[in-house]
Amino acid sequence: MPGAYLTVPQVAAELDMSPDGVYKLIKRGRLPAIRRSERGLRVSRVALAAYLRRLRQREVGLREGGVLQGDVAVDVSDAQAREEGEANANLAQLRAEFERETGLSPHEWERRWKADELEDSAENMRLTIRALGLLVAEQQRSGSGR
Amino acid sequence: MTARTTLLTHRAVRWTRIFELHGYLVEQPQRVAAQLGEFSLRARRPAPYGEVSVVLDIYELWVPGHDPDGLWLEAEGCHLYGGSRNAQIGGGRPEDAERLDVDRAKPRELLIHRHPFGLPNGVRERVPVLPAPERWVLEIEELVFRRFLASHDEDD
Repeated sequence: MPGAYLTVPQVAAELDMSPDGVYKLIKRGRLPAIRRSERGLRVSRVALAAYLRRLRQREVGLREGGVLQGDVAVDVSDAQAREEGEANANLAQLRAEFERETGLSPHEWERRWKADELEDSAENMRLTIRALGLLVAEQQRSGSGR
Repeated sequence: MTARTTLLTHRAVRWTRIFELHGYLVEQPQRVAAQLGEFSLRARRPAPYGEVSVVLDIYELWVPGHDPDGLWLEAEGCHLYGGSRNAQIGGGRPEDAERLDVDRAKPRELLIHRHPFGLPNGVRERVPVLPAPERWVLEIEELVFRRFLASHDEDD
């Protein structure tokens, strides 16, 4: 097999530890493994590389929770600021973007989706989620009298 | 910070950690519409050792209140109103994708359903319970592995 997937003994050799140690890493969820029927576990080299990267980063103390955790949290917080400060304007803007992208109102999109008049593709499912989000937000807004 | 925004942050962090564990590279969200309770993430699996390339797209829409359909997809006083997990494995055709949706517009037996890998978009299979993100990514990894074995025609 090409080197994209490794057996536990191969991983043990790369990490300079015993196979039992590798099994423990897998059991604790620190190293993901794929169970291959009858022939034991396989570890993808990409996942092993990610594990080694985390080890190195921990050793040099670059981070604890993960770079991406901070990055994503910042983005969500940014969105939260929009939520609190510019709610009405943003809702109208999101609706306009949706209508520009689809040529339909969120309500009409939902109707056609329910009626199976739109192709059941991943992209259309994404747009359906956006349409539903807009409709619920508008209902909540009108319900709260804002 | 509202409970829903906290929830969105937790979900994004949870997904990101799982992707990172499996060696995926997470792209910045194209657009986080927290005002709607929606977030999206895209992750790519690099293929430097001849693996199969994979792109994962996650969309979740969280709305305040209890789950109206008894699916128990609840957290932080909200429920998962809509969701889609799309894994594009080794190609760009619908048949190259494994997709899992929470779609409350569909008939009752298809509120949670999947479009299985290798089959066209129109095929939907009922899923009784939405797998946890960790479980779903592992299932995708197993699919990727099988696809890899098939493409290398290996028999060890």
